[in-house]
Amino acid sequence: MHISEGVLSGPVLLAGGVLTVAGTAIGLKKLDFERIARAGILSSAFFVASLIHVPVGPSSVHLILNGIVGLILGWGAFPAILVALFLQGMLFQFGGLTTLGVNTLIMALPAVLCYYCFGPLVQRDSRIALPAAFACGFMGIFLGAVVAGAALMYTEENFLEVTLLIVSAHIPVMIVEGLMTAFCVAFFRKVQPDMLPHFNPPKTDSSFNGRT
Amino acid sequence: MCRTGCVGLNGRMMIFIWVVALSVLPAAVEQAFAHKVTVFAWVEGDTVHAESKFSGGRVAKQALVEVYDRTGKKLLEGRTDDEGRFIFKAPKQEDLRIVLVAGTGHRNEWVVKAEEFSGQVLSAVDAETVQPHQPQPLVETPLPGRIDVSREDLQTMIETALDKKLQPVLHRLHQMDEGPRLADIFGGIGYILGLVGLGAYIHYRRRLSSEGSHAR
Repeated sequence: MHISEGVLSGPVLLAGGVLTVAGTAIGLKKLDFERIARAGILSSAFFVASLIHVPVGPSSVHLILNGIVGLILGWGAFPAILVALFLQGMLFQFGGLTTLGVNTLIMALPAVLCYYCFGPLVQRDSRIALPAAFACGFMGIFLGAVVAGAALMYTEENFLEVTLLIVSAHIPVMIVEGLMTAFCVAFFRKVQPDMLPHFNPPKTDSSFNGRT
Repeated sequence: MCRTGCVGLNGRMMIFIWVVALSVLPAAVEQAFAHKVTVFAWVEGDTVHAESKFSGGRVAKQALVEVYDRTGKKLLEGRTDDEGRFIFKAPKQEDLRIVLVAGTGHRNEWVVKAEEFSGQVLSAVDAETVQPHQPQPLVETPLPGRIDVSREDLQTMIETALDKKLQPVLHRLHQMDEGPRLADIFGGIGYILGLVGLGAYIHYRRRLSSEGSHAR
């Protein structure tokens, strides 16, 4: 889902850049001391995930992981994904510098949306939480495809066609990521529930939850 | 129910999953990957062969190819065949920019330099025109292995031979392509960890200074 350089028109690149700067600013504000390490780990995971390939039809698609990144980091997904994409662009020549803003938006905006949609559900009963986690991983990519389609709409092709093409190419990845997100959420719920959003520590437990 | 037992099982399962995931990674690294499309072109005589590939090894079928000259004027366009190839006769022998548009945001380009055409004029002189020279000197020279060839003919022969011999090599070069190397991957991770350290340091300083002002 990395859009190459030279495909998009100037205004689209600019709009993507501006929105990404805004999202990153919000994300950096919200990244407190405890979350920085988390953001770094997830950023590294995101950076490496694009190397794991799922061959599909005429091309191949790679893992993106934006659903789980968004679920755990919220707005912090913007800086985490921005850094990872910058390094992917520099080191692997995926995407590029001029499209960095748009590409970050394509993957980070769905991450934040997933955080708001599915974040509240993952602390609930596991019958709700696990399907929600699956949907989170699944929708992260689906929405990414929609944003990518919207970005491409202004330059070459028609929105519905391109979006459908991207979505259909990513269906296997959506399923894989949905399962992975569900596994991760199941794991965190047992081992470290405070990794997930909307965690209310039990009253008896005076857990280390930031200062104030 | 079997609460602790279930947790133990799940924990082991997670470890198993991570082990699988981590062992898959190097395998994936070996193959050159990712959602990137590349185009590569070489010259044979006055024909340009362009090859396209998604990194991951698959070719871009029926993808649009546009050829521009140095000034940015579009000379011709076409589509790749089912093997991802696009072959055309160069309309001009100067720097040609070959742009591959593979759809859904994938695009890349390759420049064929004017120098690559240098052998063109000579290799147009076919091998047949070279041959008549060969028996002649063979008869005249006393040494059986010795062939007397003019400078131009020799050049032509070398050019054609090189074209022929280099083609598979060039092809193979493109096949190999530069996938991300392990050093790049670890470098990137290290970079991110460095940023984490920087962020933590800034937060730490800020916290220190705010606590310092509180104390005063």
